Amino acid sequence: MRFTGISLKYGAGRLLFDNFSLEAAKGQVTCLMGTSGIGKTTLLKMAAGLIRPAQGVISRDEGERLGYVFQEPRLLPEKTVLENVLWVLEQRQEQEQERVLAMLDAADLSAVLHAYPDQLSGGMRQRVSVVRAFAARPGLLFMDEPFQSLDAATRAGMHQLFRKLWDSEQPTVLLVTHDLDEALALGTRIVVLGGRPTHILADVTAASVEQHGGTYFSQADQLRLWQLTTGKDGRETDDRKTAAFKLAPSRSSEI
Amino acid sequence: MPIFTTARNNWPSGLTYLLLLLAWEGLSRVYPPVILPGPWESLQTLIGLYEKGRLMEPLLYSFLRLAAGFGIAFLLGTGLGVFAGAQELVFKLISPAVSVLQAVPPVSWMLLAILWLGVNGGAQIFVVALALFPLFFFNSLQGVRQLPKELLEMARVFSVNRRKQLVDIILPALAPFWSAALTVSVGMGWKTIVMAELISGQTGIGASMNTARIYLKTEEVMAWTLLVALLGMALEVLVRKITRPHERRGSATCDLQESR
Repeated sequence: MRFTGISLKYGAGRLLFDNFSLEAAKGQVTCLMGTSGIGKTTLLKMAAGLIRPAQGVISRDEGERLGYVFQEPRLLPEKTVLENVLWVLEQRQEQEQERVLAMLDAADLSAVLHAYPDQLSGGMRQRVSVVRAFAARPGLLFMDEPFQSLDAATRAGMHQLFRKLWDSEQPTVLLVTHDLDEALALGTRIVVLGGRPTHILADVTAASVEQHGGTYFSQADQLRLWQLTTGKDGRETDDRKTAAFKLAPSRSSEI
Repeated sequence: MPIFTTARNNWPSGLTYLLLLLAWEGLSRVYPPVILPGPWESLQTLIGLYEKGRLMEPLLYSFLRLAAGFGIAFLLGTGLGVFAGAQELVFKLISPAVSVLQAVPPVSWMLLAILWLGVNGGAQIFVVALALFPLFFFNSLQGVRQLPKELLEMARVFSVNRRKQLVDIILPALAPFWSAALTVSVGMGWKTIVMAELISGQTGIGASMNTARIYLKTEEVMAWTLLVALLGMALEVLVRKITRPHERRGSATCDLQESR
């Protein structure tokens, strides 16, 4: 999937993108990072055809199925967990149902198949939304800070689930995240956006991709990414970021 | 009858109905029957009307008029309301007219309708349709404006077909608004019909009430009133039951905990 020469203005006339281009390689997990309001969500929505750019071309493979994990779960309130996942599938065959049940099981949701969204915890709802996106067998999957509202333990579980699901379906993924740890753990490529209008500050590809979706980024790249995403300009120094930065040395030497 | 089921399940409401009945009975003993006939007398008069064959025909007239006016208002109000909810320009064009329509008292419409259409030319239907139209219009408008855009967006990205979007997102989102509009309007329409018939004075319940008033048959006025009130309440309960068949699921699975 490719953005070519995208331009887009905000309502007030501020230029958000000016002649912006980016290509996401097939079967790769491209992570988009950058400060709030830089237009990451807007990029995903443009890629999914929900927003039209003022100028430029967005190209996707013809007939490619899309999946989307929004910031919120966006489940149908009157349908059960299982029904919600099956709802986005084109054909409802027995075979499909088995595949979906296996995925829900992998996401630790077998006990709540027939529960309604308002009976689930926030973390469970978000897991349903992740399973739904993978179940649709997307060629192209967009994920907009899918795990940000979850606590650390749940998030680690979600990362495992993501790897498991990605391993079996191998979609092209565009993932927006604030969390460099997450990007390093899940991405095969990390793109840091910044500036005004938005452009690419850094574009780093994993040095190697292991089995089961595990990736490895070189120490030099990691250091550079830490510096970029922990806000030298002071705009991104909220508590979480500072905490993450302090943890950084031990975390990266582990890898 | 559904009202009594509700009353039995819920004793404070039942008690209130009982107290009202007792108050009516008590007052009717203080005043002569020509001023205030009691409940028992009114009920007997009602049965008497039925036995003399003077009950069913006016009742049928009033019901048919209600059904016709209700149907017209529902079709027009919902249609235009959905249209206006989807298109801002349509809303701006239509809503002042609806507001004016709402501001004119139904009695004025009735008098004008008699002049335009004659007493048996459907003037009552016209008035009910006009009275109920704004209700359907504004409720549908509100419903369309509060459609869950995030869910529709989600459906679009996953290329879920139009039919599934309509059945599973749009209609469930509109249902509570329609249910509210239908419940309120059936009661309101029923009373409006009686009032309209009273003014046009030829057929229907309102006309029968007017005749009874002219001959000072207070017990007949009371009998008709009792019937209109009970039927109005029953209609509202009925419509609420029909439009909200599943007030969703009980508590069976509410205490599910996260499974790890």
